[in-house]
Amino acid sequence: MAKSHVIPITNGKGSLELDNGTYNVNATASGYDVSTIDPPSQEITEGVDSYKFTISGTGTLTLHVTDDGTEVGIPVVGATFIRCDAEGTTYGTEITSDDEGNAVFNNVPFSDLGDAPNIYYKQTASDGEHTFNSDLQTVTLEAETHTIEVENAMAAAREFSLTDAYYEGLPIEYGSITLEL
Amino acid sequence: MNNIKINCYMCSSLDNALYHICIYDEDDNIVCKKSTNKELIFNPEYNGIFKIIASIDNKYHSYIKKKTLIFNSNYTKNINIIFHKKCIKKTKIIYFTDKNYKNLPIMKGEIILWQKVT
Repeated sequence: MAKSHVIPITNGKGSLELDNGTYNVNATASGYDVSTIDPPSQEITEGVDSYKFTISGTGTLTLHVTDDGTEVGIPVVGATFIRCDAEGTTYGTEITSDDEGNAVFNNVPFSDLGDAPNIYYKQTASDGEHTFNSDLQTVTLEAETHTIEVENAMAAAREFSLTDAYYEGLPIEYGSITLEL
Repeated sequence: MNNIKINCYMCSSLDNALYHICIYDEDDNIVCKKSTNKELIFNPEYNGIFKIIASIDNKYHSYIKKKTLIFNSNYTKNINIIFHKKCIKKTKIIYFTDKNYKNLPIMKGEIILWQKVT
C-alpha cells in the first residue's frame, strides 16, 4: 500500500524529509479547485531540494467602478486594480475597468463552507478625472461570482488661466493646457 | 554438527569488502571471531542458538555498518548477510502558489504526496 506524505503549507511554504522517487500529487487548499494541482506527479531526485506546485481558483470577482459607487452610477472607464497579499505586495497583472465600469479578477478562490480565504487587492489608478481610494482592500467570496461597487468620485473642479508671460494679465484668447499624470 | 556457511555481500556493489564476524553463544561468549572477504564456514561444537554480529570496513561510509542475526544451528546451513546502503532522507522545501497570480502564496493548505509503487 502506497504511503502518503502530508506537507503542511503556511504562507506558501512547507518542508518534509522525502525519499527519492516518483510521487502522485494531491492537495488541500480552502477555496481552490484541487483538480488543478500542478504538476499532478512529481519526481523527487538527489540534489534537488525545492519543488514548486500551483493551484487555481475558479471564482470571479467583479469591481464595478462608478462615480457614486452604486449599480446605477456613471461608469468610470480605465480604473486599474491589482491583487495583493496581506502586506500589500502585488501579484499578477493589473485589471482595468471597461466601458461598463467593470474590472474582473478571474480565477479567485471561493467557498460556501465558511472557510474562503481572504482576497486582497488595491486600486492603482482611476481615469484622471475621478478620485480613488488606494488603500488595501479585502474580501472573501462565498459564492462563485461576486460584484463589489467601487466609488470613484468626480475630482474637484479646478480653474486654470493662461496669460502672456511678458504682458502681465493679458489673456491668451484661444488655446489649451494639457496635463499628464 | 552442521557446517554453517556464512556469506557476506554489499548491496549494489561489486567491491570486495572486508567483513568482521563475531559469533556468540547464548551466554554471550565468543565462540568464533574471524574476518573474511566473502564467506566463512562455522562449525559449532554443539547444536543451539547463536548470535552473529557482522560489521563492514569503516571505509564504506554509505553502508549500514553492522548487522546482527540470531540462528539455530540445528536448522541452518547457509546464512546470507547483506549490507545495504544507508537511506539518507534530505529535507525538501515545497512552495505552493496560485497558478493565475504568479508567486501569490497559498496561505494555508497541504501538499499530499503518494509514492508510486514500481
